[in-house]
This record gives sequence, C-alpha cells and structure tokens, in this order.
Amino acid sequence: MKSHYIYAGLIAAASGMAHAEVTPERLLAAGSEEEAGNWLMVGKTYDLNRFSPLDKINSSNVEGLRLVMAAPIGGAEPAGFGIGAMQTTPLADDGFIYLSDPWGTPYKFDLTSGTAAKPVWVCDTGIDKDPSQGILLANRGLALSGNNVISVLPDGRVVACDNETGDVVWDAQVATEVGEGFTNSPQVIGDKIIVGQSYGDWATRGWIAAIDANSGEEIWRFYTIPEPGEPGSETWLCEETGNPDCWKTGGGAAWVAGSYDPESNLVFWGTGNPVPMYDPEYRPGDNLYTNSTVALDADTGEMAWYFQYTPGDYMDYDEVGPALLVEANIDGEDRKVMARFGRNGIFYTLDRNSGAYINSVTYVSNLNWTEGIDAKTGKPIEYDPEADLQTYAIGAITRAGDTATTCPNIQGGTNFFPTAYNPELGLAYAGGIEGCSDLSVREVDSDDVLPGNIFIGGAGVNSGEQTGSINAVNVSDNTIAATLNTTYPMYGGVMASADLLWAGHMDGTFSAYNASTLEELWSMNVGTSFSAAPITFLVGDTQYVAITGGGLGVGGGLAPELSNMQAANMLWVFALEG
Amino acid sequence: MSSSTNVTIPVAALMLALVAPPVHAQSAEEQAGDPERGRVVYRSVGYCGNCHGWAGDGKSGTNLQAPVGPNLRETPLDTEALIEVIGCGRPESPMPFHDRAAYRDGRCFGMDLDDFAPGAAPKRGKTFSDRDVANVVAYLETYVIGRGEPTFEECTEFYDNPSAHACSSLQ
Repeated sequence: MKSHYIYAGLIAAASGMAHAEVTPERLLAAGSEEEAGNWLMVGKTYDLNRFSPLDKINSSNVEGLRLVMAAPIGGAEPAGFGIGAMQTTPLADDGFIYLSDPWGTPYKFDLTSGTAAKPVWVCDTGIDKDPSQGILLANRGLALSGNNVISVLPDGRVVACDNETGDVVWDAQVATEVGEGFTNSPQVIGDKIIVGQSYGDWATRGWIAAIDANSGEEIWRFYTIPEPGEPGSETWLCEETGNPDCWKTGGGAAWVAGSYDPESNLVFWGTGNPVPMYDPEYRPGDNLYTNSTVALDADTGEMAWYFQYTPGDYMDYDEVGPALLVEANIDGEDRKVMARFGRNGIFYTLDRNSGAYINSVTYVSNLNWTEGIDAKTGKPIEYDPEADLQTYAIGAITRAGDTATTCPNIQGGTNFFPTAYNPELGLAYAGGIEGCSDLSVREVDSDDVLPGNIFIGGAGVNSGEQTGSINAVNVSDNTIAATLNTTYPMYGGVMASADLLWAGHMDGTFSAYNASTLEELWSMNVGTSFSAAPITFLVGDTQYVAITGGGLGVGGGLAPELSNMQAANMLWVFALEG
Repeated sequence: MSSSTNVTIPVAALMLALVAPPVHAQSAEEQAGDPERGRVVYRSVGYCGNCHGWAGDGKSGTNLQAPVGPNLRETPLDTEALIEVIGCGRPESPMPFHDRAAYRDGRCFGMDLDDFAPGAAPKRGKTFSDRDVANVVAYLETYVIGRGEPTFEECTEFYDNPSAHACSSLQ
C-alpha cells in the first residue's frame, strides 16, 4: 500500500506539476476512457449525466469504504441572509481537486500523496464579503478552460485564475445592473464561457450570456424575459396592472449551468420562476420564458426552442434543474431525449432537437397542484392559454386573500440539485423533498420594488413536516424503478458510478446505494450537512470519491430539528481500505 | 448549555453579592439606553432586520427565510411595551423573546415555557442583557419610530458602511 502512495507521488513529481491543458477537445472527450479518472466539468460530461464508469469501488466492496482525506474550506462569512450554502461540485484532474466556496472563491488541492488534501492555492478574487447584502449565497462549482480555472461571483464578475499559480488572469464585470450576480457554475464550450444571471428573485431580469474564454468579453446575451415587441412579450400583460414595466423585474434567472449537445451545438439551460413568485396579479400572463428549458445555439445565443413547464406560476416551481441528455429507446425508436426532474414534482422527457413533449411521470409521493399533464402538449391539464391568470388544481392565491397548499414543497420536488443518469441501466436519478407549502399573497406597490432587494410578493411556508426521497426513473418508459424514502429532505445532488448511486444527506450522512434497487450499501456520518453532489476519480490507480459539506443556506428551513448543525465547510475524500 | 447556565448564574450572582459594592439607584441618565449601541444590537446581535428590515419598516432588507415583521416606524408601543415585547416576545406570533430569563422566573406574564400548549410557546431569539434591551429601545425611539420613508443616508449609517450593498438600490 505504501509503495502505491510513493508511486502516485512520483508521478506528480515527474510531471513537474505542469498540468495538461484543459482544451476544448478534452472537454468534449470528458466521457472517454482516457478521461475516466478525471472529472473535468461539474456534470462530468456535457450531457450532465454525472456518471462515472469507474468500478474499482462497486457494490461488492463498497462496505469497506473509509474516510482517507479531508480539508477545511473557507467562505463561511455570512451575507445578509446568513452563511452561504456549500453546493460546489468539485472538479478533478490528474490528482488535483478544484472547488469553490459559497462566495465563489476557487481552491486547488493536491491529492497525489493519497494521505492529505494539500492546499495548493486559494485564488483571491477580491470579493467584498459585505454582510449587508441580502442575498442567498451559493456557488455551484468551477470550470476548467485551457490553463485557467473559471469562477462566477455573486457580485456579477467572472474571474479566471491561473491553474499553476492561482493568480487572477482576467476579471470581467459581466453582470452590471443592480441586483445581478452569479451563483451557478460556468459552462465552457470551445472558446466561449456560458454564464447565467442568477438573482431573479431580487427584482432583476434573467439572462444567459457567452463570453470570450480568453478575455471575458461578452459575445452574445439571451434575455429570458423578452422586452416589449419581441416574441414572447405578449405573455407579460404588464399594461393591465398599471405598471407597464413589470417585465423588467420579471425574474427568470438562469442559476444552474445547462447541458450541451455538440451534435446540434445547442445548450439547454433552465430558467427560474417569474417574479414576484407568489403574486401573479403583479405580472399576469404565461410569463415566457420563465420556468422553462431554453435551447440556444452555443455560437449565437439564438433560441432554437423552448418548453415551459408551469405557465403563469405562483408556486415557485422554477425549472433551473439539470437537463439530462440521454439516448433512449422509446416505443421501439432510438431517440435523442432530454430528461428532467421538474421542481414541480414531475419527471419529463422531451425530444432534445425539437423540444417536443414525449412523456412524463409524477415522481414525488404527494402532488396536488395539477390533476395531470396533457398527453399531447405536456402542459398541466388546468392550463388555459386564454387566461390572464392561471388557476391550477389547488385554486388561485390572490391579493383578495385566497390561500392554498401546494405539494410538492415550493423548493421541489428537486431543485438545483444535480441529477444523474446511468446509461447502462437506463435510469435517471434525483434526490428531493417530500412535503407541501402553504401559499399566500402580499401585495407590494411597484414603487417599493427595488432591484437588489428580495421581491417575492407573498409567503410560502412549510405545511407540516418535510421529508425526502431519492427516485430512479426508467427513461425509456417513464416508470419509477425504485424509490428510497429519507428522514430529511434530500438537498444535494446524486452521482452514478458503475452499479452504485451516491448521495449526501442533510444530517451529515454520506451514502452509497445499489443503483438498481436504491438499497443502502454503505454510509458514514461526518457531521456536515450536504447540499452538493459527489464526484469520483482516480489518483494513480486508486479510485476516490469526494464531496463537499457545510452550509445549507435556504435548505436549512426544511429541517428545523437540524438547526444546531454548524456551517463548517469541508472537503471529504473516501477510498477503500488498503 | 442550558444546564450549565442554570448552575453558573446563581453562583456568579452570589459572588457578585459578596464582593460588589451595594447597588445604588440609577439616575435617569444611567437608565436611558444608548441608541448607538442599540443600533449594533439591532443589526448584528439580534438580527432584528431579518423580519423588521434594516429600516424597521417590515420590508427594506428583510430576510427571505424570515416572517415579515410589523412596521416599527409606525409602532404605537411606548417604552414599557417595547421592553416587554423585546424581552418576552409575543406569544402566538413569530416575535421571539430576548430576555435571558424569560419564561423561567415568572417575569414574562407569570408564565413558564411549559405553560404553553405544544408548539405555541414563544420562540427563543438571540439573548440580550437588560442593558441591551434598553439600548435597542433607545435606538428605536431615537432613529426609527416616527420616521418616514427610509433614506440612503440612514441605510449607510445603519450598516456603518458608505458602500453597503444593501443600500445601493436607494441611491
């Protein structure tokens, strides 16, 4: 065993610490055998499948897994809404780990010793950790681009750090309006970096933009809320409200990085809820392109298609969660599918070239907001395209005082949580919340709506106890293959490897499950809440599994009994016994 | 924590009684709170702004995860009532208590937490000393109650930072 560690160290020394550049070609080949030991982008591959073929750790030996390395991570300084959420998916390349803290600060660790996660550098982005800023702090991961490590920041900058030294190479103020900023991870495609404005609920207008990977200069921008006159603007009936500018604060934030299909050159990003989330009378209409998947040409930003899941939403069912790109045989036909666990509690399959609806299935145990999905259109059956204000099965919530209870919880279903797909089993996986929320409206005068200040127009509070579940869905026929009910809401992501599924729990438990049955095969409680997804990678020929734990952010409200858990941010690394 | 507090406070009080000079009646000036210290307690000890907003208006800078609190700029409460509400909270509402001995020695409506129906007991907020309760009241009476719309200057003064992000939308 010792000789093995020495061997790994020699490899690192022999390579002179010079990294293989992360070229566009390497990113395109992130799923290849050559890259099997690395995890080069948050979704592992452009299809966001978060599937690793590594099988040294498998169902027959996972019970021997143990904690082998750990390292503290900073960034626990609070903003106005408290300590940020530790949601970063680490990246791994050649024995080095790259991750971000909730303020977006990048870290690099050297794991080549096999005995310690040694900090190599912390990139100083110069972020102002202003505690007055009333935002939800989070950062969902970094991107590797050439010799740079890219991070997006809550203050609206995109920063490139040198992979060798951790020095800032360039720094671009991409988001410039008050209230705008980033919480997601950047998506590198060729010579471009795609980023999404993340703070919709702060009375801003969402957008997705491509910037030059070498300079940060903006190349194209797609607004998720069209301006008057543009297609889709007819779904913002702002004139009816006496506030013709209601679209300008309409939200539709793009706060989770999308997937990418090199064949069609389309990126698939999800968009957030219309703002204010609980008061549709402020912004009547279907509110395109909120709560949608938008398919954009990666070179031009031109929209090829969109699919809106919950039009005229008042339940906060934004649909930023990952769009899994999958090849599936459906009714005897091989199809290129986009598979998504909706925050609204429904799993959808769409044709990823056209956006056409294929099928859906409810995956949460309790869903009451709709009686079902129209088999032709994919819209909720209550949806009335002629109506200014939609009324779903739970009834409307109104300024006049009507309230409602919606299931699933306003936070989902799933949410930003990374999902996964095991192509060998044909199963898509997601963790999520089981429960309901009580909704009410609180009218806010448009004069009081200030960009940068949270603007929700009502309240959505837990209706009773919230628990959780992990679901495995057979993509070809949209059947639930397995369900695991969990004590606490699942608030992080999942990762698929060979015959295992991995997930971290809110109470600090990290677990491995049988990928087919979701039977628990191994778990360990390390004491930090989990709201991130794990990865797996090789150092030498040893397989490791890593995950970050720490602050829960807004997820903490779902499990008040865990409120005494402290937000100490950590990197945890596991491997098999000797 | 609570068990050790229960033990140490009486001991500390006893020690104080043995060594401290006799407490004399405080002058009115000594009793009055310090509004500047009260601002700090409001902002970063009690995090009162989570529900009431930094401006105390129940909307400016409230926390997404907190219930919306009443507009303190328009509160009809007098000094005595403010002290009671801050110390004992408001049963049946999200307003938490901040007095360290609240619902333990009868000082709050003669009740203990056990006297409330399950789930109905007031919630525990951050713990303030008696002095800091008076300081917060002084802050509210000096800088919040009766004020009109919040201003940029008030905001930067509140955060003690001329470039506080929270104030940028008021500029």
